[in-house]
Amino acid sequence: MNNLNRLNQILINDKYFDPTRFNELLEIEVYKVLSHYMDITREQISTKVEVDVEGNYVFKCKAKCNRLKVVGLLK
Amino acid sequence: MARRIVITSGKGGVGKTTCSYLLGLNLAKLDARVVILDVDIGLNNLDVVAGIDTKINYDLIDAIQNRCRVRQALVQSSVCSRLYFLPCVNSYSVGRVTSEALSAILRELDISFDYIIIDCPAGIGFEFHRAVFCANEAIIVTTPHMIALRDAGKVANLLSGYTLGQIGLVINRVRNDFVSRKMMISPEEIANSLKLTLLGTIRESNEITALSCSAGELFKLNDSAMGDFCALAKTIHYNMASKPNRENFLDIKIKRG
Ligand SMILES: Nc1ncnc2c1ncn2[C@@H]1O[C@H](COP(=O)(O)OP(=O)(O)O)[C@@H](O)[C@H]1O
Ligand SMILES: [Mg+2]
Repeated sequence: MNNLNRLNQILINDKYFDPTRFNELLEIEVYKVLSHYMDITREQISTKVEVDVEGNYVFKCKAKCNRLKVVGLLK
Repeated sequence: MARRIVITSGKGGVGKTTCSYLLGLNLAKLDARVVILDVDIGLNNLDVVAGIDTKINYDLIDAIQNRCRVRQALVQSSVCSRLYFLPCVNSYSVGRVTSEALSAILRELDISFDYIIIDCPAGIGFEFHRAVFCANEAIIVTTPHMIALRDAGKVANLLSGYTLGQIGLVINRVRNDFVSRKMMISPEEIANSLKLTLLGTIRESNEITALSCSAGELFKLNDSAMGDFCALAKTIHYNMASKPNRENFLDIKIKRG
C-alpha cells in the first residue's frame, strides 16, 4: 500500500469514535423534530453515525410509526 | 476587531512557534499590526525564538493576575515596529489560567492590533482547548510525516466542534525532491486527505536549522523558506481576509438521488 493510501486509512480509522453519548444527544434532538410530524415514541427511533470509505460521516436515522401528524400541513 | 488566529498541530516540534513568529513578522511587513501570544505556559519558547527574552519585565501571567496592565506586558520587536509579543515566562505559581481569563486579555488587545497570533501548545488537552477557545480562525501546522499528519487529522476533527471562521492548513518542512520521487505525499494530496484548505507550504530549510542553533536570529532567514512565509502571509492577509469558508448548514446543497 502506498503512503497516500496508508494515510487515508489511518485518518479514516481515527474518525471512528465512541458514539454512545453523541448518539444519545442526536436522538433526543431528532426525536423532538420528528415528533411534530410523526406519531412516534422514543423507542421507535434509532440513529447512527457511521464513517464511509471516503472519510465522510454518514448520519442514518430510522423512525417507524403508525400515523403521521398531517393536521396543520393541509392548508 | 483583530483576526485571532490560533497556530496549532497536535504533535510537538512540527514548527508552530517557528510559523507563529515568521508568519507574524511577514504580516507586520505587510503593514499589519501584529501581536504574537505565547500560551505554551510552562514550556514557552517564543521569547527565545524572537530574541526578546532579555527584554521582558512582565508577562501574560502578570497581566492575567493583575500585577500589570496588558500593555506593560507587551514587548516590541526590534526587527519590525509593528510586531509585538506577549510572552509567557512565568512557569511556577501560575495556578490554573482559565479560558475566560485568557479571553479577557485578548479583548484588550483587539482594538490595538489587526492580528493576534496564538502559539498553541502541543497536545489536545485543556491547554489546547483554552487556546482554541480564544481564537476565531485556526491554522493547523503539520509536516509531511505520517505521525504528524495523523495528529493533524485528529486536531481537525476537534476543531470542528468550535465555531471558527476558517481552518487552514500549512505544511512545513516540505522536500520537493522527495515529493517528485513520490517518497513524500504531495501537499495537495495531504490537504485533500485532511479535507482542509491549503494556505501554504514551507520548504525544509538548512538556514532555519542553522539559525535555530542560536537565539533570536530567525529574523535573518533569507532563503526560499522565508519566501514561503512571505507568500503565506500574503495569502492570509489578502486572499482570505475574514471570509468565512465554512458553509452555514442551511446553505449546504443537498445532493439528490
Ligand atoms: N522549515 C523548517 N526547516 C528546518 N527546520 C525547521 C523548519 N521549521 C521548523 N524547524 C525546526 O524544527 C524545530 C521545532 O520547531 P518549533 O517551531 O519549535 O516547533 P513547535 O512549536 O511545533 O514545537 C525547531 O528546531 C525549528 O528550528
Ligand atoms: Mg512551540
